[in-house]
Amino acid sequence: MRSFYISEKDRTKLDKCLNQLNKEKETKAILFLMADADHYSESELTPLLNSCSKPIIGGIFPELIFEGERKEKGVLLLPLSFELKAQVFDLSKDVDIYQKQLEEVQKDSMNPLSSLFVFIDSLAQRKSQFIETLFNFFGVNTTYIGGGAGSLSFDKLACIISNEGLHENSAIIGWGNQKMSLGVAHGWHSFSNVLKVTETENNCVKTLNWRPAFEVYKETVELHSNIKLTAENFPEIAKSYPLGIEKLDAEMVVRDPFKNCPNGLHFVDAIQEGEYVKVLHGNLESLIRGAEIAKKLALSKLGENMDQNALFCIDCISRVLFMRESFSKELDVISKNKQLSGVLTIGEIANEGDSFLEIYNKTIVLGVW
Amino acid sequence: MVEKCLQTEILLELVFSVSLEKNEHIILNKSMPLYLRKLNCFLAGVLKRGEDDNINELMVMPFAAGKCGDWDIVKNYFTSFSLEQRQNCLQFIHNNLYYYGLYLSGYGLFILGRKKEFDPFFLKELQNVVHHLGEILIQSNEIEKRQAAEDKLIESEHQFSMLMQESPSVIEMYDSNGLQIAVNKAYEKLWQISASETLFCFNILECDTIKKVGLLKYIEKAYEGESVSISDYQFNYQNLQDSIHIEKERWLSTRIYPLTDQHGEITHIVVNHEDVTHQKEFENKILKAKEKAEESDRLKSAFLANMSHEIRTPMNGILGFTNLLKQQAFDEIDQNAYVELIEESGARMLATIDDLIDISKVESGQMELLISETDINKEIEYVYNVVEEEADSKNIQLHISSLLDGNESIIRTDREKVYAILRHLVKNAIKFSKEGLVEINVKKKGDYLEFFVKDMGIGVPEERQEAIFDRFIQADIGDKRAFEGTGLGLSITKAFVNMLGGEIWLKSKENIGSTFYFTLSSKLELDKVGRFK
Repeated sequence: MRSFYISEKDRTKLDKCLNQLNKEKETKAILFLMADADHYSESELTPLLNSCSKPIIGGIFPELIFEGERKEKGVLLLPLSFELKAQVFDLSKDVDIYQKQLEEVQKDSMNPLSSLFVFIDSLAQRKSQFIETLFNFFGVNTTYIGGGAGSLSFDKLACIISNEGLHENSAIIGWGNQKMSLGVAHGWHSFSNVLKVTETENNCVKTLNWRPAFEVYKETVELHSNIKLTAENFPEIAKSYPLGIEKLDAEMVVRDPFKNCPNGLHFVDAIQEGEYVKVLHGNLESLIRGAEIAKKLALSKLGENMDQNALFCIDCISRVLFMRESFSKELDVISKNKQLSGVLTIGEIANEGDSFLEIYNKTIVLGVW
Repeated sequence: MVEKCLQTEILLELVFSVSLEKNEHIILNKSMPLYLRKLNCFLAGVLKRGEDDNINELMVMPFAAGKCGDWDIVKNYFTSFSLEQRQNCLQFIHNNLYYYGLYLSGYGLFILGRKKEFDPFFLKELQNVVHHLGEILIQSNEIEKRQAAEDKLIESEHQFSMLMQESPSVIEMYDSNGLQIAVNKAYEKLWQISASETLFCFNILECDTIKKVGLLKYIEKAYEGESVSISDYQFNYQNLQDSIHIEKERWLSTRIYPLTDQHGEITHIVVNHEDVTHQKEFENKILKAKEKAEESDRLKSAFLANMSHEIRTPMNGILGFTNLLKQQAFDEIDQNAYVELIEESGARMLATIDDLIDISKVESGQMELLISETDINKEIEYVYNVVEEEADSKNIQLHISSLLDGNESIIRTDREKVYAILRHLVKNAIKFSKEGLVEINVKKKGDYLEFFVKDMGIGVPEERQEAIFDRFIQADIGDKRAFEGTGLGLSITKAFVNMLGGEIWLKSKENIGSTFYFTLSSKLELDKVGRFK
């Protein structure tokens, strides 16, 4: 698994690199991953993307990872040695259309030894419906890997990249006839009783156990942390106390609270009404241990034809916000003896067929192909 | 405790998620993804029970799972069970994957595929939930079937209503009390009344008009269960009540018949009128056409007989006198007289043939106009000169009473045809006169020239005047036929006058004389195909 990082904003250099990959016989498709800071504008980038005859899929992400290090700027190009059947979805359109679009293009993408790259605008209107449609189409027949694109400022941004250019409120998928090995873990542990999500509105949980969500959350966190939770210290405290959605016979799905408001608790991704949740907690050690588990899982299922020395990482930007400088320790652990490249995302997508496809938060996903 | 709480919650959500839905496909499209997500399944499928009790694939999710070879194996496994066996929760392990066949009440089987085995207690509860889903699906199926039947009934009613409304026959329906409850568009058209004026207020049993025209007895028969037909009768508008207005007499053909319910009880009667007025008119036209055709046939026979006479007579003359000339036993005076008679007979035959050619050209539209500057006065004088001798020979005075002034006499027209018209009318006048005067006259009247040729001859009976210009008519004057000729002359003349943009008519009194008038356009213009404009 090769990767090329263009650190500076240098169109000529990017053009040259892209051109080179386009000419190469062994390159069948390209992952185009760009950092949010100082990113190329649509007008700068579109001609380069248009000129490439190989399928390009990717997005703009809060940060990149190259050679085991965080990169706040630049472009990371990952040439793939297998072809991708790429497809862009406009998520402002009705949900019923996604299934029809999938049937039109992907009706023959049925090999169980396959992978599906998914990048989605993290602010897209119908994000969870799209993910559900993907599962209703591909099921557990493929291995999913991807994440939420966009800016940490949460401003609207055309952040999905294809050969046609940049797309806002969209998602892109690329189906490859190549098996991938995945490792997924988060390192968060529950400590609370089960709480029922009794009222929600979009990504906001209004009540837990029929009581105001913040009140319930505050009581639970204060009891565990011995710190009084206020509106001021909420962002700081809440990042170490995410919620976990209980699943039947499967790992909990982490949800990241990022804002408190009079209505309730706001999460990066939605929690459906009626779900059962627990409050989770983690520390540096547990999270790094989670990363180690993810690496171990990914490497345990390596096939002979897979790259034995490289890892592709989809890591949550909120883990960086939580671990701060210590995040480098997580990267050190993962990149030990391996070439590590990837992206820091707003929500992670991964599934090896163990459960229904969901968007994760505060989770690390490692993939090898 | 926690696990049980989650399981209960999942089962409750599965129950409530579809309880309000009524449409079979909406229920399945909503519930199947929910079963996949909530129960962590990789496959959900529905095998629906058919009329033969076999179960067949209705739906499978995800799309990819339905395309996989394993699904066929799983499907075959579950479809192999009998109806009774299906009521137990069936389990099938294939490639280390767990498949469950849950009984969907009488609807079919719900297949779930999982990587992990269900807890046995949970599975028991789940079976109840799936059973409930099956009950809802059966109900929705019934509702949909009923809805489809109702839709079909509405559609069928609509079609019948259309059929009735668009029928060209008048359809009126009355209830058991004689009250009008339905009519069609033809009803409004025939009676020239809006349906809203009579519906639910007009009573056929209480209508005086119906009684007057004698229809009531037939209506009563229909109420007694008899179908009645009244064919082709005249319905007079004067018999109708004030609310119904009809412009003239109509010919109707009516059928009245009862409608019965399931038990054979008469609930309604239908009055079905057929307006046969046009048919009657058409019949009359055909009758007239037939009479005319018979008349034409008679005229044609008379013409042929006449024609035979017109050809045979001169031919006999020619042949007879030619034979005499061969014998050489006559003097020079006789010889000249014979030759003159042969010549006259030849000329008469030629005239007959000319008339035949002209009429056939006129009838086939091949008669052409040759327009040129024509001096009308000269043509009249020319005719005068040609027939003068003939008039003298019969002691008939030929007189031109009026000619045109100077330039008025020169018009653009077909000279030959003007000459033929005049010559024929003057010769006719001489022919049908024993003595007296034949007067020729022409005057300018606006853009027209009006001519007349007047005689003091035998005249034309009034009843024949209209037909005098018809072909062969001379041949049909019965006993009065005492004149040679084909009978085509006047019809040729009329055709020529019409071709030149004029009209011809006659004023005549029997034994007093006839005046033939005709006009000619002084400004003759032709259209592109050579017809008079």
